[in-house]
Amino acid sequence: MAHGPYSNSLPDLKTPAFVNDWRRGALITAAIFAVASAVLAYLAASLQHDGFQHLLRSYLMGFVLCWSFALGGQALLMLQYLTGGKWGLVVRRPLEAMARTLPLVALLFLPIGFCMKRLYLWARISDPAAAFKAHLITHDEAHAIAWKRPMLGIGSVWIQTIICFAIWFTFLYFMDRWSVQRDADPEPHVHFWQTRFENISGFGLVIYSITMTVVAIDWVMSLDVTWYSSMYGFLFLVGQGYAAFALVIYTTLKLSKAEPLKTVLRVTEQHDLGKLAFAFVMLNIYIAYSQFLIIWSGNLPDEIPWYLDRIRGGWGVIATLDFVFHWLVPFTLLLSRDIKRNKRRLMLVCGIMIFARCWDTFWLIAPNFPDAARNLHLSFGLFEYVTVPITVGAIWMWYYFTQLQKRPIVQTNDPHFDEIMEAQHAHA
Amino acid sequence: MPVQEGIYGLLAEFNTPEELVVAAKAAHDSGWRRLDCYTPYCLEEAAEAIGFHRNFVPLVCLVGGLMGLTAMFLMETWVAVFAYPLNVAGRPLFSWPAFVVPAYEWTILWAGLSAGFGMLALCGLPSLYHPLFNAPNFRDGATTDKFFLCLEASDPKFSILESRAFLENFQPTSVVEVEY
Amino acid sequence: MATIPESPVNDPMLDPITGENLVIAPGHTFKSVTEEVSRIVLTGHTPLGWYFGFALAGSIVIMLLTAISWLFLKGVGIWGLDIPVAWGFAIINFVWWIGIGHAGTLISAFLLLFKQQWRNSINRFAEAMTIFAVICAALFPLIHVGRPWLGYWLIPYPSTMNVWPNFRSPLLWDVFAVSTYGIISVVFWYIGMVPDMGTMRDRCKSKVGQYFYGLLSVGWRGSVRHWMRYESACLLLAGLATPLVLSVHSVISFDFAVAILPGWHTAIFPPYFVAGAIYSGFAMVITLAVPIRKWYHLEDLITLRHLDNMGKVMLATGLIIAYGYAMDVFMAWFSASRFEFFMIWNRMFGPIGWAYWVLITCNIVLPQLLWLRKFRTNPTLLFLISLVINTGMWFERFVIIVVSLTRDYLPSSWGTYKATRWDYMTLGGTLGLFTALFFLFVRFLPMIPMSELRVLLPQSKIRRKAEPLEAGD
Repeated sequence: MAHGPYSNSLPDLKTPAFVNDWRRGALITAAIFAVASAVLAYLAASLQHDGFQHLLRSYLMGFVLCWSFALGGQALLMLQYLTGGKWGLVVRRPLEAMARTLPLVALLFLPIGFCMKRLYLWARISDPAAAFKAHLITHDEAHAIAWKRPMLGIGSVWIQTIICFAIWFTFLYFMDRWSVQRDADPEPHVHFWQTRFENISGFGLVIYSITMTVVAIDWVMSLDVTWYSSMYGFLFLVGQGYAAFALVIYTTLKLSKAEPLKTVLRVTEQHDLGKLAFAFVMLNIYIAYSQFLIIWSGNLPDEIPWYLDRIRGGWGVIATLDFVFHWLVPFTLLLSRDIKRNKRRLMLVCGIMIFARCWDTFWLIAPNFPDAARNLHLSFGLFEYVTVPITVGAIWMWYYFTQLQKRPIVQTNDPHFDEIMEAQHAHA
Repeated sequence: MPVQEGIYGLLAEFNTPEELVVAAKAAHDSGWRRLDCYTPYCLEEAAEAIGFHRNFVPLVCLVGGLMGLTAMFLMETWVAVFAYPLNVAGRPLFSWPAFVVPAYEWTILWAGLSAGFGMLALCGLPSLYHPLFNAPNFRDGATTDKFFLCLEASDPKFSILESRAFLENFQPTSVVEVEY
Repeated sequence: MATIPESPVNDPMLDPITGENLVIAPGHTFKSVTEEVSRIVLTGHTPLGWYFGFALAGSIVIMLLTAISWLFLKGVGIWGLDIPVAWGFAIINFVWWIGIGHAGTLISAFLLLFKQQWRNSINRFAEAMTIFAVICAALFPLIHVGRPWLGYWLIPYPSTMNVWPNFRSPLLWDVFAVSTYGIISVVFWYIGMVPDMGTMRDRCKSKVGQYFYGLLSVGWRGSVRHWMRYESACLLLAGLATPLVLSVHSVISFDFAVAILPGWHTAIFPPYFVAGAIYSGFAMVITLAVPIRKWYHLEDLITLRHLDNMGKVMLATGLIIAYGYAMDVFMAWFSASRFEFFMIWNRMFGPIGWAYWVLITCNIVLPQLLWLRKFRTNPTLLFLISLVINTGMWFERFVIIVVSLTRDYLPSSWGTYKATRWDYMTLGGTLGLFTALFFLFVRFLPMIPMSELRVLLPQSKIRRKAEPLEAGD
């Protein structure tokens, strides 16, 4: 009945020292792949006359991935505060670290913001009617560009982006601040803190889904200026959750090689995390397949080309493998209870999930451009989609690990804390 | 089935789950294998104590699901491509995106039926008669608030006097003989 | 931070550590929870109110039978159906009812998977609600086909005409989705009830009751080996029922989304239909739970915690459908398609535009009150909001089906729709059927799973050391 004070004899809750090695590893990876990207870009420009166009496209891919992790981490943090559950305590600090990488993500946006004209048709064409007369674009494109101008213009997208980042920073600021204050609070004040976090998370998730939809349309969907799908925001939302969740499980499992997470991460909570990952796998295929089935059945000329661009001309292989990596493999593996309860195997599954998310982002972004749509061909440029996202991702990882080191790895002021710190009791 | 006569086993009654688990564990450790615990709710520790770790319900369910999936998908393909080829709005005869939906439903249907009825079959249910129902205290409490351990007569270690003495060690509320 | 207001912890219904409402009132024993639930069924004395309510619901069922008989005699022409609106009340009611059913499955399945133990006391009657709602729902397509005695044509079987159904049609997917849903719900419900049937058999005093519950219990005797298999089966069924719920309402949304009619053909329909279904379903659970807990004095077992949590779920799903509505409106503009644009304009300001504003008020505006804890923990207010939501969700289907059909691509095929008295009688009649079935359930079956309540009690957990129990037997 009597519940002991939370900070009775606190064990060492510092992030293990080997995270320093991770940081170094991330920096070295970034350096190597940056060099490789430069070489590839040079080869593509000089030998294949591709220019430097793939560099920016693959950079967009890397940026979208980092953004997914950062913002997905914040959304999962909110979700975790809302639903409760002991698994939340285990992943809370890694999620917070992911969310705190937002400043870096904002910085990473700058190259895209300044090179919009090279990426987006609507930014390049300032006078759609004239461009149509000059046979530069089709009638549909001209109509779409003119019609969507209030949303899709360089200035307008900048404003939307800035507003969205400002909103995310606000939420980040308060959630981070309160989390630190909660740790420092000498009294548990469970009810007070829980209500406080629940309230901000409830509003936060609502705002998050709106802002996320807006920028997903601005940054990615509008690469194809005529196409639209009301599912797109949702698809990105679930995809972000999928990626961020896989990454946070991976990090936690990797950290659990040493104390304190070695004690804290019990099999029960690991099993719960595995089940949640399974839920994300199912949700993701559900959303993706529903959209495909509806558009496939409707077979309307303003929708179906988006899929044809991504299936014909060799892209079918990428699409099929996307399905395999994204759903078939994780689904089959996560069905097994033993895999969910085994650290090494669950890490493998999460690794596959993160990889699948990268693969899917490639499939979403690359075929938007006329030279690539329905035409997947081997070129130096193609390899830039490997090296550039790895470079960007590695830089992001470095920053993520740095953030991870800044706080104790477990939040101490939590009603489940005492229970979770007892060594492996009763869990065979 | 021939009419069985004699003693089915010895039934010890406990008031708390702890006492039951202690007794069951001790019995299993001292070599008892034909024994069972009876509880008013699922008590995992008791199953662990008598060495019951793994059951085959998930396997039955998986096989059922795969059968449902295959059956429906093959039927759809056969109907749409061979038995009754029909041009519907220019869609291909082998419209696999559409076939996924009923195949999915049947996977769930067959898996669910296999899990539900497979569980009953593995448990040997329905069996409306069971010797334990002859014990009045079992009928009174087994499904409400009492915890029972039954050492069965078919175990080679069984002997009325020694087994009873063994059970008495754990201070049960009562130990009764159960007749067929 | 100078002062932090601390919650009062003196209330026995609040958890002293987290300050949340308890799932079950303190001081109960295995015996007392069993008795509290089984006395409702095993009493020889049926309350007068039950007879009265059942008679009322029964007379509404008679109205339903009248409406259906007349329909069979005259044909579907007695309804307000015409071209272009060939899908009227029947399909609206079908979608509405089946949506209501989904919360039951979700409470029993999804929350079981995620170890949300507060579900234990409400899952049985939520699941019963599912089955009765599916019965009401399945009735509509059956009587809507015009010649219900040929309903078996929907099933693929080798007929002498060598004709097979078209598997590319979402209407056929419906047949499989809804039948699977009905069957799996019954199996899940029944399997979940088997141990309780054993309890009823053992506690029942009358011979007839002993036979009845004895047969239903299939000889359950509580062996732990059986329990382990049973738990596996329940978890598996829960694991299957959760994606099933998602798929069933998605398939129903495909009925619309696969067509290319403006207002129907939109990719967000599946998740937004599912969220809407859960929304209305939870509303219906509250509509049922609030009076039941009052009349049968079950405040100890269905606590404010349950109401609070259900309120939160309603708020969340309500916000998802708000997102769906917003995307509908936004994409109508963003698509740069004049048909999409006109569709939304017509939905808001067309001849039946008022229905859209009713649905916005009922589904989006009023439920925002659920942000306030006061509204989530006050049974009366929650009950009223649940009625509002159920109305709103009916109007949502009305707007999607009827308003879209009245304004097609071609102005020459525009029309209007007016429901007849037979439409209203059938809708009202199914409400009576649902209520009547529920009365029977409450009288003859244990409406709260006793075996799962026992797990919620602190004395069910094995303690390491032998400490004396606080709450004596």
